[in-house]
Amino acid sequence: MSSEPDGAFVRRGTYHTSMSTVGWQTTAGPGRIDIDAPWFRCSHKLAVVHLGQSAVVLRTAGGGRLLVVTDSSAGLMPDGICIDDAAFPAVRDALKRKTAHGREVTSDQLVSPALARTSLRLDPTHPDPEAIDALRLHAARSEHRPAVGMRWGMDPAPIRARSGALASAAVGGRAREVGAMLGTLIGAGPGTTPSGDDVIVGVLAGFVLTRQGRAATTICSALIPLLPRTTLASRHYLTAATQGRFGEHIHDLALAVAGHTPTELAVDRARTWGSCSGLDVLSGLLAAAVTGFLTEERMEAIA
Amino acid sequence: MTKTTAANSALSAQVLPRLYRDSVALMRIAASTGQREGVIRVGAVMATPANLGILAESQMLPDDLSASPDDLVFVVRGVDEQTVDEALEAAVAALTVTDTGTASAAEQLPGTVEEGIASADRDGSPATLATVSVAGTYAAIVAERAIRRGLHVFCFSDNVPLEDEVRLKRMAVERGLLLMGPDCGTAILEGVPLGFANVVRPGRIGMVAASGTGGQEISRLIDSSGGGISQLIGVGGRDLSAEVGGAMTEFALDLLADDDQTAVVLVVSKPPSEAVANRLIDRLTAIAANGKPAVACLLGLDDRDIDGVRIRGTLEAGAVAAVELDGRRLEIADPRGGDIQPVPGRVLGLYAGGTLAAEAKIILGRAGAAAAILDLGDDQYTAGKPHPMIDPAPRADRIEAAGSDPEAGVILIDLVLGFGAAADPGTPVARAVRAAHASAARDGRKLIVIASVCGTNGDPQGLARQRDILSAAGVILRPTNASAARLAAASSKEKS
Repeated sequence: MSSEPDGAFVRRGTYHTSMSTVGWQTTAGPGRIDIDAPWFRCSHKLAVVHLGQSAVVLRTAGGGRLLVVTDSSAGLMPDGICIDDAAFPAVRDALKRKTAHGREVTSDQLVSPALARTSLRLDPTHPDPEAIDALRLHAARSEHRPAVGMRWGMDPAPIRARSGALASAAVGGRAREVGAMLGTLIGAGPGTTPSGDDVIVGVLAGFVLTRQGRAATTICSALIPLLPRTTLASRHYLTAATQGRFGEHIHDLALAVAGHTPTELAVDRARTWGSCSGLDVLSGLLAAAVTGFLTEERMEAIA
Repeated sequence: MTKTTAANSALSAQVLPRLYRDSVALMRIAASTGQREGVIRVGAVMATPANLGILAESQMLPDDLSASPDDLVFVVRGVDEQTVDEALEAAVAALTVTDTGTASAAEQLPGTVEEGIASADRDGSPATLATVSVAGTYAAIVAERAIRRGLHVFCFSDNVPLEDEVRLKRMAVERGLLLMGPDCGTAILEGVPLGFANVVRPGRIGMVAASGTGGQEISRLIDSSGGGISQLIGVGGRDLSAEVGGAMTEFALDLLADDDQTAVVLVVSKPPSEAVANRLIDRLTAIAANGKPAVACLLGLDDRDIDGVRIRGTLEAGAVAAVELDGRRLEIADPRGGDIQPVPGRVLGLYAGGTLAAEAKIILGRAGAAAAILDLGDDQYTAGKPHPMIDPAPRADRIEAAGSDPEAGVILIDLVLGFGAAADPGTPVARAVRAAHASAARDGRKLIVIASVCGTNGDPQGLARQRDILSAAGVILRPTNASAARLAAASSKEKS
């Protein structure tokens, strides 16, 4: 994840500046903004969609774009602003006051020149086969398998299980099969970002990490016409994924795939995203990463 | 709202247009709806074409439902129309209250340690303790902030790195503060329960517990004898490991040794490392020599007395010893169950309490019984889901599924009451037991279900009521977890 336009790698948490929001009574604190969302500089009116403990979701009036304001536990999201934990409650309360009774804020009120600009474009990496094996093992241990007759929700496990077939079809260039699989995944499963969509995001991330651009393009081509079949939140993250942009948590997973961070810790963190989003993303990412690794190994064997 | 009524059930759904809800909150509301009497199944999903298709395949899609992908659809199937209407109304109220009423209050809650301290100061009651229940990755940071601000810490979070636990416990002790945890489920300080805890009488037995449900089982047995607890200091499950070395246990014992309200001291833990156990016994011997008799309840060890310290290997025996030293008697009625014919098949333990599961495993192992004991509160089963003591439904599903397991002859469970636990854990378990018995009967098998209830007469769930619910479903109740495990061992036999 780059915090400089030239792509220099800076780990999350090491590049902070003070943030002040013009015209608001807020507590100053460190903050970052996704650099690939320049539309922030224009004055778009925003309405609050959701106010939560670690994230505020805003939407452009009539435009269908989302802006996700998060604290550091949730991490920076595509088209997002990430604020230090100490400052987040005050910003959240200010947004709540501002948008009460249907009033709106504008995007340029949120974007201060003092915010650190951070790109969420995912860079390719060199996957570590041992790290990938360890991630798969830890993820398998974390897999929630509810008993027969799940009483109150949908089981994400069968949806995650399709990630391997999707990745394989994409690598093989089998566009029709990819389209059919995406049709069964998009919008499928529990969560505001349904499990199937998180799996797709994970697969795309895995292809980016392992330099499988052709496979990613195969998925993107089939995916874009299907976007209306899922939620606004998912469309936001899927669209960003087709542009090679992924949330901060996925960048953390990338470090684990490369063997730079402990795999068990990475899986433990992934388990905390939403009710099952983290494990959904991870299953897709590993399915694609494994495919990529095998491809490299096969190529080495031929050479 | 759309409805469909069939001969044996009713189905109703509510579409909430463009409702965006945190997934975990949605799951909780769905789970609590599913636990209502008469509710058969619940669906709470975004109304994408894929999800509507899945609902239809599950016969959970009412006729003529119209919704778009950004709408939340909440579906309830229940035994009759009134049941589903009431359940749906409650669910929608919970969803919309989260948006305006309760959420307003919740979002005004302090978001950091500093905010919490400031808020308490403003209220005129300065904070002395912080409870930490964030994801393990962040718990160490939050706990450290609290310790540096002079607060005792009750850390419910698990998955905290071991090196952080060692470092923070050293920091806490240097400052004269308790760090209860990480992974601490239970404490009672000055009569105030923290985490999961039963309503127990105040009394003269002071406990240090490196075990949540171990502390609960012993404290509730002490309460049943007419005795009580002065303090129950939880220290987290790893405190007596070689790495942590019993740092917080030793500090807690120092506090109890100086506590005027404490006349008997008890430590409960799964088996500690040998070096730590020896130091622990030496410390307890010194406390006993100064006039406060002591009990070391270390699971799996053989019962013996050394230099005024009673070492006991089961929770039940630990409680009996402590009550005796307090000048009372704890009688445990433990009939042999002679009228129960052993059934072929293994013992399947489906536990909410980790230490209770560990005790059962030890007892069944010593008896040579074929058994599989699952601690369903372990990370591998919870993975972002509520603990089974909070949400009994997933365990109930497993109990029901066990009825179709040809290898299972005896099901062994615990039911834990008290603060923090579900409001009515017995009902979903009883429902599942009935279904399991029915499945086994259809297959021509006999299934025995044995349980103990870890509760007191003061617990909000109602001890007698919960026992009646289980008994009515055919569950054989035993007075202690150890007793239940012994009966389970005697009730199973090898399949021929």
